[in-house]
Amino acid sequence: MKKSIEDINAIRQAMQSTIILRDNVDPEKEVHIIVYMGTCGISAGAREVFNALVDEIEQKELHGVRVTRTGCAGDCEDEPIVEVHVPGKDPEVFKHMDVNAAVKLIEQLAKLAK
Amino acid sequence: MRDLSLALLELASNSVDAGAKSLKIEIWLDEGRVTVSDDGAGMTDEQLSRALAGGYGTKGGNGVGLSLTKLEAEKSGGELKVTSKASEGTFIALKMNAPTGDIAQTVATLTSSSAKVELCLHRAGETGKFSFEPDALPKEIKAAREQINNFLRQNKE
Repeated sequence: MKKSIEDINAIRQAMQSTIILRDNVDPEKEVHIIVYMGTCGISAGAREVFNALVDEIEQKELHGVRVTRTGCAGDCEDEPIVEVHVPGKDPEVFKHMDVNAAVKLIEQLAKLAK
Repeated sequence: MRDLSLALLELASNSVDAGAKSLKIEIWLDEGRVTVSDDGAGMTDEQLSRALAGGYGTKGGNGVGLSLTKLEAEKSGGELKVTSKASEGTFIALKMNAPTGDIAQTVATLTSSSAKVELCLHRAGETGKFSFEPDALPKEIKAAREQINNFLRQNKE
């Protein structure tokens, strides 16, 4: 089965509606998760960690959490590295992350949100 | 890099870090070939030759990305070609004899950046076109991944 233009348009529209949701999030209250993804991070599995974070945020239906990637942190031996910025708290750095640790991290954030 | 999708993440990350607002990715799945074009900062001829030689870091890293990817590509019997113009952008063509890897994971990751991502997937005479807005939220990143995977799955049938 091939995807028709209509199908793709429907998906696009569904995605656009989520963009409106984002505008409602107060950036001051947003939790920001940064995944270091230089060459070292990518080879160490940072992409999988990134997508595990995204999946878990969706699964837990957390709002106001943003995940972005950035380059090399200069501590290549500690990759994958994830930095978590919770408003009003000092940033926390997690080293040697993997998919399981990413899931646990979001579980902790979900508890914090409650 | 273990596969084409990771090499693509490496190359396209550079585009984003070079301030690209538009990122065009084209992938020929059957040929192990991918092109990335961006409207980022670009490079002068001298910057480009230094970047390809390795050890030319501009972002706090060691500047090994481009040279390593070139080495990997050539080792596999492929090649990496870069053309760039300062303040206009960069075009990269990569051919690598390696597994495709997870294209959806790579592209979805890139949608979290400040660049609009346009993706063209070619496979067995068929083309899938996708467009993703910049600064995606988790929900949108996941949706992007599913959209690409749907195409790849349907195409296989």
